[in-house]
Amino acid sequence: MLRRYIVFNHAGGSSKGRVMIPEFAILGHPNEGKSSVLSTLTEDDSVRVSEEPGETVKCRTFPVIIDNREIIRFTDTPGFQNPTRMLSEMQKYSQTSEDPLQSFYRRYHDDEDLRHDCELLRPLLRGAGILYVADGSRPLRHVDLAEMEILRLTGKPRMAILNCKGDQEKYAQQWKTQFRRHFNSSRIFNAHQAGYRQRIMLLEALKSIEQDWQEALDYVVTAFEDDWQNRNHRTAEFICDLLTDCLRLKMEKKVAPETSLGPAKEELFRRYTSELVRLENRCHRRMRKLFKHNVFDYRLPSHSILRQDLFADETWQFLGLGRSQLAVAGGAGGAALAAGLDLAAGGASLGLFTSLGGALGALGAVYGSRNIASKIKVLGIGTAAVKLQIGPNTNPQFPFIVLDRALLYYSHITTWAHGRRDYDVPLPESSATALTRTLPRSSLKAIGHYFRLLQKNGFDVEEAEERFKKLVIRQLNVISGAEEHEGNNFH
Amino acid sequence: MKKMWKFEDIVDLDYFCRLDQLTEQSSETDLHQRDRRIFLESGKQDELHTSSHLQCLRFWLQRRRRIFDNDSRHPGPGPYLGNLLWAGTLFLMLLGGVLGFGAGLSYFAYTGQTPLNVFIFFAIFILPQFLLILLILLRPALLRLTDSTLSPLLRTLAALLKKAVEKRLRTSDSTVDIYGRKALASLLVENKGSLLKWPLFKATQICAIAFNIGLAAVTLFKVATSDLAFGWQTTLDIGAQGLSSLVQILALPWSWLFGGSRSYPTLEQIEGSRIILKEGIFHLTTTDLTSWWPFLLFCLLFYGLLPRVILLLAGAFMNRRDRQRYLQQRKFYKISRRMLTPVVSTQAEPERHLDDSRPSSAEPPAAPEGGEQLPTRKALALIPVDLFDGITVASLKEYLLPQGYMVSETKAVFRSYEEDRSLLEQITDTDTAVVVVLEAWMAPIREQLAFLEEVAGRLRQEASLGVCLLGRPDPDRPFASPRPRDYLLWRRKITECCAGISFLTTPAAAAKEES
Repeated sequence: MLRRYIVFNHAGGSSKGRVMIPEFAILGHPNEGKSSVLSTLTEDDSVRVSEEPGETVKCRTFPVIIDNREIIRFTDTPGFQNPTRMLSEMQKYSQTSEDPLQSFYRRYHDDEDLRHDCELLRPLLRGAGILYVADGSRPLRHVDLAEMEILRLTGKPRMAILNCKGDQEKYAQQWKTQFRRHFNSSRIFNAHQAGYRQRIMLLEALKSIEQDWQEALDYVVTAFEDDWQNRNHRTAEFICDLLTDCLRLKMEKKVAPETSLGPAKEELFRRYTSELVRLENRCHRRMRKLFKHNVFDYRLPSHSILRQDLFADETWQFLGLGRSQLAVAGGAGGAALAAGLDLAAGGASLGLFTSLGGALGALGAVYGSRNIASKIKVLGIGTAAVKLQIGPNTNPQFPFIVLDRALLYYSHITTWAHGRRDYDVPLPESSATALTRTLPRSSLKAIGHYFRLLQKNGFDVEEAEERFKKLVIRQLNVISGAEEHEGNNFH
Repeated sequence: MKKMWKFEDIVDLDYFCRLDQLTEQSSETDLHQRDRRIFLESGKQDELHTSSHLQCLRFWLQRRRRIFDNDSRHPGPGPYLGNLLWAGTLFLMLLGGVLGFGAGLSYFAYTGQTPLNVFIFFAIFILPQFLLILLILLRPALLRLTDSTLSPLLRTLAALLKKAVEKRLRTSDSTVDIYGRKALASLLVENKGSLLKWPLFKATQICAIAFNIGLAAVTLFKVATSDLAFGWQTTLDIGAQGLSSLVQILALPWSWLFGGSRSYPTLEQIEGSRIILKEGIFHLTTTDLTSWWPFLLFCLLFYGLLPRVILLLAGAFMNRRDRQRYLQQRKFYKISRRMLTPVVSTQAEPERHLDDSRPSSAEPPAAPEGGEQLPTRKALALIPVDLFDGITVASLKEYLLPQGYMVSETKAVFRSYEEDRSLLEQITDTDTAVVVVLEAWMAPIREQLAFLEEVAGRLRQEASLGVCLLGRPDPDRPFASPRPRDYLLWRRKITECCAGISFLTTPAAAAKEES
């Protein structure tokens, strides 16, 4: 997708001839999730997020830099420490002609008791807009009303964000009623669950609080969307790399003729499977880095199919294609292959071995993974050594399993908000269903064709790969909410 | 009209791409930054955004060449390789022409003693060419049969070209040199040498075309300027009739156009041009002996020149198609994507580490206070305004009584700063016990701790100050006990600012209550 960019200038909102960058200060009571909201919004998991309140004592700025130019910035602030006192003082100033914000800061910026409160006002003095964060899972208190009133008195553009902790919106209505009185707009944004779509929607909503910042926010939203598309492109490329490497992997081993072949085959099989697992892990690592999860390696749901080994029975039971779909993807007629596909779909089939080939290869499906080592191809018996070979994998189900697992991993990595720090609490996983099972026939054929080209080690795979990539990107967009789900995901 | 991608363009494009992959410092982010800068500094953002992937690539190549030229003080290998290839093709063309001309001259060296044998002409000039063309057409199948990825000729040529360009690329910067060599080596042989395959194919066809043209030119020249006689002889039992049939079959491609008599010799002419050594040539008529040359010339054109021209055109077509395919590689798409995607950063400066020497809030809870029975005292309960309702007050009174506090008076606090100040004035120097209720499920803030500090400071020494830390209320249980974690945090914060305070609730109590 090509997108036309406006040539953005910081024209709006300039004061005293200086170029002003739209700034949004995240304000609120301590421990309401300000840092979590910011961490999720900016996809920065280096933000200190703690159960202990008052961790943020200094303002910390998160510039949104696009093409080396700062377009907007978000500023994390300490929580209010003396809201009723602040309100009292500011109300006094508001009754006179003085600017409550300026006057309060001028008078108290050296006061040790009000140090945090003065610190949180600093971005507002620079002209920042306000993002007030409150926890909708708790009841509203007088201090909250005081904070909202303080923010109203500043006269800055402001929006309230309801960050419902623990996914409880018990008191949301109570909060919303007050928000309507004090803010230009309000939004629910769960910092622990918000994904790409929610981030974009929040940015879109920010436009409504100050018209002068609309252009900058438009620019940011467009850049974020393009950046996300770019990441999905790269994810699709990682998946292509993984599939190429897995489907073309073969290993050989030479064994002295008088030696028993059994242990050698077992060892070769172990090496082969561990190499496949390494390739899959590498792809997952690359995806994690791409989506900026640097700090943690989150725990997969306890029932996640991804916890199972690539060759576990459960993996082959739940992922990959159904029997009839396999026949479509295989692109082959003939009773022998059809019979083989039936078997491949029904059991823990690997069909890894080139020696079996065709119908025999498919019939090899009846062997479980434990016995498969005995099917290693003996390439030739020379005078010096016997040469054993395993791979490349010709099983039609295998690439679909690998693809399903990669999509599942993507779904996890993009659902895990950067503001989350409860690494011990696993993500819910709706079901261990194979995403590829929703494929329509035309997509199945295209994907099957690409897999076959890879398995044949064909040179002219570019066109097929492009088609496959487009289908995968579409699916990634649907998973991450960048594209609407319209029945079947792959079209 | 679409501009064609030349060989040198593709070589440079691939070379720079490989150089990016090989150079250590080229992380994806760096490459993105650089390519995006190329786009932004182009002054053609709008144009590039609406242009195709290949147009973007062409622009990128143009800029990369300039950068590379500046950095390494010599251009990329593309133009040099292109020139080498062009020179090689020219050389092969000249060689073909000279060989054709020379071979023709030797063949047509007619002394007048024996007519020129047309079978020799076929054996030297037509049959080998025909066999070679057959070999070319069968080559893909043969390569597949031998499972070879690269033909030996291509491999040799690639090695020679690599060596030649390496010399050219040698600079003072050894890193660029090493990576450059690696990049070059891989681009010439990868993908089954597809970059070199068709240029080499075209060059060989040009050589063959030049050979045939040279030969045809000599034939025409000799026919025009000297008295040539053509004949045929054989020991085999092939009669003139058989030969005539063969000649007619061979002449099929052109005989329909020029007519039988001008396209090939007639049966009589064939019979009349047969050389029988014991009979000599004196009985042969000149018209029969000269009747062969148009046929030979047509054979040369239709079986030598024309197939080569067709192969050359096919080669050019395949070359073009393969180049388009070559440019569809993922690595090239990456370039245009890097150019068109903005570089986005939302990361803050690294945070300064806070002093973590403070005591952990996870320290074990202290033993519940008030283990010994205390005399009952009258107490003033200061209750946050949000909890100041009948149910909470009643529950509080009930809860505090066993602990020796009989709540005689209750006041709401934290409604406003002024009201709190006024309340503090009222309790100054009082000897009544004061119980402050705090909502421990909320984060402790300075304002509430300072209030507590002030209350402690204003009471007489004999007056006790107790703190009731409450958990999050719900409609069924307004007087809930705090979570252990919240309790410990508040307790720590309170003891940091004032001493001698009795904590009247414990998380253990909360657990009991809940059970």
